[in-house]
Amino acid sequence: MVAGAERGTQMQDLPEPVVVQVLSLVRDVRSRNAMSLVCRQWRSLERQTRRSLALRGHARSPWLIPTFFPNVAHLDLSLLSPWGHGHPSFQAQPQPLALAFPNVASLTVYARDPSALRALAPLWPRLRRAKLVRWHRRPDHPPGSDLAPLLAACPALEALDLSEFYCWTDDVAPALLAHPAAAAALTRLDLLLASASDGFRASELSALSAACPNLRHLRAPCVFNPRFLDFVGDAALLSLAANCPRLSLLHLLDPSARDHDADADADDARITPAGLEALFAALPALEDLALDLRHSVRGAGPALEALARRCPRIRALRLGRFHGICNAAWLHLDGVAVCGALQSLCVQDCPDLTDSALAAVARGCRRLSSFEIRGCPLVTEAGLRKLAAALRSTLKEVRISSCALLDAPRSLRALDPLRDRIERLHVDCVWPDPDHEPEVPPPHLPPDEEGAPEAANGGSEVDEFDPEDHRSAGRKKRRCSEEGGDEYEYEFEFEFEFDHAANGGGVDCAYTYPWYREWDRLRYLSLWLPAGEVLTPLGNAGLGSCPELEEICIKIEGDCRSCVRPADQGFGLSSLVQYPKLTKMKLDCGEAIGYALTAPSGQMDLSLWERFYLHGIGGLNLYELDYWPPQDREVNQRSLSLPATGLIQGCTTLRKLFIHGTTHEHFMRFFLLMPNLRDVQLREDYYPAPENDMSTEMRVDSCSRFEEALNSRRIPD
Amino acid sequence: MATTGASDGASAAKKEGLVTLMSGDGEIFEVEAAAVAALSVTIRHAIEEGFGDRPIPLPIVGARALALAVEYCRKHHSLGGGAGEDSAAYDDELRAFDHNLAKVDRDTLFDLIEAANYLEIEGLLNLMCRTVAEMMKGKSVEELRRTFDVSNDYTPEEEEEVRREVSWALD
Repeated sequence: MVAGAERGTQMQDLPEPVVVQVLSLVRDVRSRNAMSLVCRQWRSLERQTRRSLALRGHARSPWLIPTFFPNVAHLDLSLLSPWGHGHPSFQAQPQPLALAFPNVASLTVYARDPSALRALAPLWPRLRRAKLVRWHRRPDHPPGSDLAPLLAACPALEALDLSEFYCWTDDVAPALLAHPAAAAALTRLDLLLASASDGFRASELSALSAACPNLRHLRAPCVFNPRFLDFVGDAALLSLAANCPRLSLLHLLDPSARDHDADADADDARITPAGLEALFAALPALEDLALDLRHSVRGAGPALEALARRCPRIRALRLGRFHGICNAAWLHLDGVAVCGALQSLCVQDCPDLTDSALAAVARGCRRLSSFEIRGCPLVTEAGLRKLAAALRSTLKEVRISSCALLDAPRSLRALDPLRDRIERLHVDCVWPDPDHEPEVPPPHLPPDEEGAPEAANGGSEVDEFDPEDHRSAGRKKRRCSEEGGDEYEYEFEFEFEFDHAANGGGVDCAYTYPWYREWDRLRYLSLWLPAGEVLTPLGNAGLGSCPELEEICIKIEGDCRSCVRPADQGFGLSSLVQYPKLTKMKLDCGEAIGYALTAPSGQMDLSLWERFYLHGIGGLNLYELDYWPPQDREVNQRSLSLPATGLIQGCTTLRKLFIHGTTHEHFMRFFLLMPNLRDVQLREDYYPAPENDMSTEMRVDSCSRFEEALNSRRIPD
Repeated sequence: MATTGASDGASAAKKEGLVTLMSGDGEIFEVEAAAVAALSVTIRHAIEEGFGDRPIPLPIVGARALALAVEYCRKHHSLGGGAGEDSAAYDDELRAFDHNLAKVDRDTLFDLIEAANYLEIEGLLNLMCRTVAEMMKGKSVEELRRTFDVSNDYTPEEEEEVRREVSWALD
């Protein structure tokens, strides 16, 4: 037929390969489900093109598994309900799985004990990628027996992901050594064992790298502490590089907890700049490097210059506790600033990273799209702002945490030049203390605005066009749009000094910028709050208007027991109503600690804390909620309480609800009253996941009963 | 929009490096051979087979779609050198051009897909398929049927059956 005729080409006129191409581009599962309901042809094409499937629900009988997705290549069995119970029915009769999904190349499975893999791995001998999940305690068996069935049955395995699999470091090397052919075929190995507090020793690292000479990607926790026997130092790194010369991604992290900082300061790591230079020379294909230590590496600048020289493809770099990564003493670029191809840079716990170093990074790394600083006490608002202005055209993601001079309002002000570009952001919600840090307004500010920054939010026009106060800001804006980043930078330098002088030095230069800010492209926001802190000042701190914000991730950490009793209005989730597109929320109180039921008088127990945190959630139009209840470490309890259940139930738009903890069956029954809820799961994905499911918490039967009730409701789509 | 290459009549004296295309509804386009041959496999083969001076007939491609396709080739040839989307050469201007091109109305969209498929212009086909896939995202069944003008050929029982199937693949 000829196009341009009266009735144009329609979907069904297109040749089938093209329709297949179109359909296979749709990834969103819900859209796919809708597509399959459109008509018969669409259904058959949709079934053919479905590549990835996560089986959910309670797999009571293996004969009930769907057989109409023949081309699924990625199969996820780790989320079957009840969560974390392995798959007894599949293990007894695994064959139907192989018949239903003959083409699986990538498998994710909850392997609570070795029997799961013994049953499932032989089904797909051509398996290329496997991811194991386990948050329960490791059963008592000889080292290596978890992985052995998988390596024995799937010699073509290329990628093995153990990042969410709890086991011991001793488990890995024996299994690899016992299956040399499978080990040699591996190209990607992720050994960031879930919640492991132990790392690989030098001898283990060298044994497993010798077993897998073809590795391209390696992620592993390592013991860098020089006080330990067999710690990882220069020699171990060099032997690793010699064994696996084709590594393009290398992440070596120290798993010891961050709060042991005092201990870490005592010794330097036995990794020297010279050793690093030799490492980089041996790994010319390196693209992504992370060395996240808890022990200092001093004078790292020259080594990083060698990195730029030796590894021309380096794109992503993460450094923890490296000192002197950029001295920026003179005009020439040094240290990390020489790595001009970097697209992602993360600097953690670098005590001597200065503003001028950031300026050098901004001059040197012109392609940075992601930038993170954590625990850099010398970086100030001005320095960060200079970087943000200079990298305005490329930066899409910024994360700022634990920096002493960058509280939330300062971080947000510093990112002002990126406001209309940035897509993902993390800040710590540390609010300036009004008692200790009086925000003295600049002397030339009109008296009616004095001391009322909160009130100024929204009343922006007055601020923005106030000629006295904002002349320089306005000029800066125009310059920026006309002439690009560099001009902006100089302009700002000048202006900052001016402000500084005007404020008598050391005082916040808060009022130079208009308070009304729109973050045009911000889609993802991550926040960290100390326990007891509230969310409400967020809008006034500068995040008042985010029209595109879809997902928010809030992490609360700290000891609620030492907090003062919070005021009545709650944590402030209701203030998130100001983000119209917000549909996904992760609320992680998992690291907030309190008394489960046994609060002494004058203290709130966890159910009241949950009420504090979840207050106002009913007003949000959320689609998906991940919630980690706060915990009582003494009794290893993370349980949803009655007030929390009631509050979550108030959020009627929810479709997916994942509770990362336990709860009682009669509490779960409340959720059945939520009209749109489709998918609820209790995931105990923290170590150690509770073993004894027969206590008062959720049992398998309760879970199944609840799910049956949930699934028996008719959902319009 | 993209009629710079069009000329009337097949008489056109052959200038160096030009090739003549004839759309399904008889319109003649004169375009730079290098640009279209670099991106369209079909036209490259036609030129190699020696259509040379005669217009290359493209029976199922409408004039409007052909004009857009030619514009796409020209733009991508001059700006991107035919490079893939991941390459550094794929600059902002080209992205903006693609973005605008994807905003055509639905009929043109399918015409273009058909044209791109026939002419074997991979980049254009991918772009347009992505556009359609984007249109499918987040729509309900009824909306999908309306948008894409597909009639429901399920019996109610069948539909119920499919719903049950889908419940296995929760989102």
